[in-house]
Amino acid sequence: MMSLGKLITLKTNDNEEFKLDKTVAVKLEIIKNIVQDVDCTSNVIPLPNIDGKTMTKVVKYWKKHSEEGVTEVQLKNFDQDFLKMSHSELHDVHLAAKYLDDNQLKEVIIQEFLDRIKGKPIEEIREVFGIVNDYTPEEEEEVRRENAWAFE
Amino acid sequence: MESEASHRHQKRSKHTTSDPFYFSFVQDSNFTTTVLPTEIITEILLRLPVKPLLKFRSVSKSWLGLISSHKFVNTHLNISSNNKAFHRLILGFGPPENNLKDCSVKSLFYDDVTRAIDLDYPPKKSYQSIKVVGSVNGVICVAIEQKDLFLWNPSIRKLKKMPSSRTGSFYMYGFGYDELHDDYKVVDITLNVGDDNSYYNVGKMYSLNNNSWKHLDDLQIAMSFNNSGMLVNGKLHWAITNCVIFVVDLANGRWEEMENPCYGEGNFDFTPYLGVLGNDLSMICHPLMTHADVWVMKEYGDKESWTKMFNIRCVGYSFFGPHFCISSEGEILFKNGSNIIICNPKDDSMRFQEVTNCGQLVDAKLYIESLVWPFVVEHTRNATTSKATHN
Repeated sequence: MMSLGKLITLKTNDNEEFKLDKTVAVKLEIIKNIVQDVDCTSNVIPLPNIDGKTMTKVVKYWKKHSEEGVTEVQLKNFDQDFLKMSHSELHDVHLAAKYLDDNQLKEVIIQEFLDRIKGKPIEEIREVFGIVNDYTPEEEEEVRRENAWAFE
Repeated sequence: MESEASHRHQKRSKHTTSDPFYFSFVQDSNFTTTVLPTEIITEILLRLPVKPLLKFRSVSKSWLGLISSHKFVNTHLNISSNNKAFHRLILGFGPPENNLKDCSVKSLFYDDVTRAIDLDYPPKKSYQSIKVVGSVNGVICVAIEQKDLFLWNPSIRKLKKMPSSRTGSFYMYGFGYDELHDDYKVVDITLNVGDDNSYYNVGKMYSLNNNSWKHLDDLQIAMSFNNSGMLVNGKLHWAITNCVIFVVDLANGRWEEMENPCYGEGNFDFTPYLGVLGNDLSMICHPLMTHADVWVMKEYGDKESWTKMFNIRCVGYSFFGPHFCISSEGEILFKNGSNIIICNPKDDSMRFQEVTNCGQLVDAKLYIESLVWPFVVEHTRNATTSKATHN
């Protein structure tokens, strides 16, 4: 069992270290599991699948969302700001949240993607997701025609 | 641009196969576009309503394959089933309109006024009666002039005519999904008069897989009740008297009778309405005209598990029709005469929901917005095959 220090350290795959209050960290399933499993004298938890840049964002999110006395409005404004990142950064945070089993953060990211594609024309959707259009113009026209009403 | 993008795509695939948790995203500072893996794309698309998904079929062949795949359609259905935003009420109007419209369940619960939306379906003729037989998985079965049957998914605007049962009368009918055989089935029970003027019922069941009707064995109910069956647990249910529910198992066509709850002491003469709350069979009845009780059968098939969930005070004119669903705040949506009402059992309150673009409402049924269409669509199949070969 891990010693009962107040802080635990998360270490990313590029050797960046994040010191976290244990009460924040053990809320997350994966950290709780590692804390229970690892025979640890050092209180350092390795995160082999997350890099420092992404973990910085995740920790920032955790800290704000576990802040005492933080209001709904403050969190809403924070989230809005927090989500101002590129599609790929968003994706990295999603993967990290998934690995850390943080459903709330995962949901926030998916919702942001949904907002980004809402009401956008097909061309912009391709851009957001980096999709190559492999239809010939004739094929694309045919697929569009099948559900022409959906484009109205 | 295109070759660059596909190059990135290849690089990404190599990473994902070796490490399912790989994190370093392939990025090229010259391009703002990022290739996102199918996994997250799927997760995002699964949250979307049907209409944008139909549009997104034209994004690429792999998106068409993904959105059309059986797995995606079913997962999307499951997610939508649990999200009230994707629940709708199909509304049936009587003469002179004789047509169907629909509206959003969320709007009924939360908006001041709900607008009924006109629906487009080819057999729409105001001189013909149209009846909703039932709905399951977003697919609706309608009967026109009590004989012509259609399967219809209004969300994807697909409709197909079924062979007629040739009895020309839908007295007790129902539509459901037989999970065991992955089959959609229609049950039609008619009331007939024998030579000795006695009444007898004839029951038939249609299977979409076999595209044919089959007689139900030895039907002995001698009863007509002009209403549609409620689907729970792969079986259709009709309340035929105040103490008996008639049940047909869609998997094998066998019928049985099930007992209603014990309402308490007294002599009751009423026929309750059945409904489905959550996934449970439920029933609304007015044993006394002052109150309506909503019962739920918590353990399917166990008579002892009938539980009285709500007791709603009836205000003079209120005579409850079928109930459809319950909101997350615990309010229940009912049809009441030709109105839609919402009751809150917590404070005994009741309000009429104003629905515009609305005629004489005779019928209303819940359905889920879905991509489900139980017929093979050639185009989709080709695209899916070509995607499989490509991979």
